Amino acid sequence: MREDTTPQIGPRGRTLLTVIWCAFLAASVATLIFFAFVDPAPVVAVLQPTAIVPDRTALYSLGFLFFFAVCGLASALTAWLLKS
Amino acid sequence: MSAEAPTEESYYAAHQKIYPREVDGKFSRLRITAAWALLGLFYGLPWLSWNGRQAILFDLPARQFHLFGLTLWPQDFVFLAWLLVIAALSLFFFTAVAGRLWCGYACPQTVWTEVFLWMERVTEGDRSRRMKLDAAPWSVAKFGRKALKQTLWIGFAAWTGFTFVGFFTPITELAGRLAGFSASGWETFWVVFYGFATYGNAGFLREQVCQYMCPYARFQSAMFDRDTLIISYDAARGEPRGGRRKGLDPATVGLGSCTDCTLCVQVCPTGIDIRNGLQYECIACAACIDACDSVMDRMAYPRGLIRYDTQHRLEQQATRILRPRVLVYGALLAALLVGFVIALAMRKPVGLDVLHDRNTLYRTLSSGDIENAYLLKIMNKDSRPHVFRVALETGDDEGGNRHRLDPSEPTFTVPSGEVFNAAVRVRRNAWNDAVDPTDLDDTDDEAGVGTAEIHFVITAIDDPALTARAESRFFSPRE
Repeated sequence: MREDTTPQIGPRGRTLLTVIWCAFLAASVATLIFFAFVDPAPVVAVLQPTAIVPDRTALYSLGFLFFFAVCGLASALTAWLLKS
Repeated sequence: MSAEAPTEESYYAAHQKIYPREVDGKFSRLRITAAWALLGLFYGLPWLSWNGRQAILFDLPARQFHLFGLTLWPQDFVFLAWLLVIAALSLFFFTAVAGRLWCGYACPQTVWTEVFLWMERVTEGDRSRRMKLDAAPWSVAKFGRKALKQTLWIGFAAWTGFTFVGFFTPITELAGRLAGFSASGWETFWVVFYGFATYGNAGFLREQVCQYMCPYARFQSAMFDRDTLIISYDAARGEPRGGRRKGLDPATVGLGSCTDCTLCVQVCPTGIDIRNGLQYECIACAACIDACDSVMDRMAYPRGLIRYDTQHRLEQQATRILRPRVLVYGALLAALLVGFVIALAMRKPVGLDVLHDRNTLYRTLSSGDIENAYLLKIMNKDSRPHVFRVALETGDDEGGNRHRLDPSEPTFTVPSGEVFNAAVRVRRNAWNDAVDPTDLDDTDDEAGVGTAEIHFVITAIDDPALTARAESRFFSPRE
C-alpha cells in the first residue's frame, strides 16, 4: 500500500533531529531549574551598571542557548559513539 | 514500507511520506472538538485579563507567574514541580486505563498536525489529489497551490510563535511592539524560534516526531496490560479477509468480516496497518475505527471490527477496570491532587527576606548606642495591597529590651504582587551593656565583633493572620 509514497527524511536527518530534540528537552529542564533558583538580575546590573530595569530576558535566553549547546554536544557525542 | 536493503552503517529504513486520507465518524468528530477546545485555550487565554492584568502570564522578566488571582514566585517553585509530577502521573493513569488517549486527542503534536493537515486539504485537495499533485511536474497551478499552502502554514506558525511568547510577556504590548517593529531582539528571536518549531513539527515532521523523537511513545507500553483499552482489530471476526460482493453473508464464502478495503491503512496518520496488531507507532487517534465502521455500515455488518477494547476481551476473557495498577496510580494521583490543593490554600501570601547592610557591620553613635542597618524585602503575594508593621523579636527581652527598632514601629505599604525594599535600623542601648553582663546569646565569630540573633516579624495591619518571620544577626563590638 506504499507504492504511492515518496521518501521524506533520511537516516542522517533523523539522527540530527533526534540529537537536537533530546538536547532541547534537557536544556529546557536545566534552564527551568537553574533560573528558578538563580536570579540573573544582579549579573545584568554588573554588566550594565547604568541599566535601571535590568533585562532578564536576554540572560534567560543566553542561558537556554548555553544549556542547549552543551546538551547538544553530549547528545551528538553519544549518537556518534553509538554509531561507530 | 519499501525498506531499502539495509547496510551495516544504518539502522534505519528510508522514511516514506504519508498521505493520510480524510475520515469522518464519531471519533474524528471528538478529535476535532478536542483540537478546537485546546487551540481555543492556547490562542485565546493570553488575551484574557483578570483584575486589570493578563490572566495567565508567566512573567519571566519579573520572575512572577500569574494564574488569574494567584501569583507564584520563584520561592513557590515546589508548586510547579508538584504540578509536573501530577501531570506525569495523570499520563500514567490514563494510559493504564485507556491507552494513548493523550497522543490521540491532546498532544500538541497531534493537534497542530491536524490543523496543518486541514490547511493542506484546503489548498491541495484530498488524498488522491495531493499524491497526484506531488507526482505531477511543476506548473503554475501546482506552484500556486503549494505557495498558498506555505503561506497559510507560515502565517499560522508565526501566529503560534507570537502567542507562545505572549504567555511570557504581556501579549497586547508585544503585539504593539511587533506591529511597530520595535520588539526586542530576543522577543523576535523566540517568536521566530517557536514559529519555526511549529512549522517543522506539524508541517514537515508530523508522525515522525511520534515515531523517532517521542520518549512517551517508547515507554508507554510499560503502563499497558491486558486490561488496557487499546485500538484493536478483532482478528477472530475479521479473518480470513478478502473482497466480496455487497450484501453477501461472508460465512457462505468462507471469509471473515474484513473486506480488505485497506481504508484503515489509508486514514492512518502514522501509516501502519492496525490489523497486524498493536504497534508502537499507533497514536490511538481512532481514525481506523471510523473508517472501518463506515465500511461495516455500507456492507450492513455490525460495527466494531476495529474498536477500543482490551486484550482480555478479544481473547474472550473477563476484563477488569479496577486492578492494582489502576488503583495504585489512581490513589497516588488523588493524594497528590488533594495535597496540592491544601498546600496551595495554606500557602502564605507574604514573604520576608532580611539582608544585613553589606558595607558596615555596625555603627557606634555619639550616645554610645550601637546601630545596625538592614534591608527588609517584603513580598506581598496576595491579590490586594497591605500595610505591614515591622516588629523585632530578640532573645534578650528579659534583659531589658536592649535591642529596639528605629523608628520604633515602622509600617510599609506593599502593593499586590510586589517586593518592597524597606530600610530599617536596629539599635542596642549603650547603658545596658554595663549593667547587663549576662549577654548569653552573644557569640564572638570574628576578632573584636560579637553577634546576636534577632528576628524580624512583619504583620499586615488589616489581617493579623498575614505574618512572616525572618532571622538575622546583630553585630556589635565585643564587650
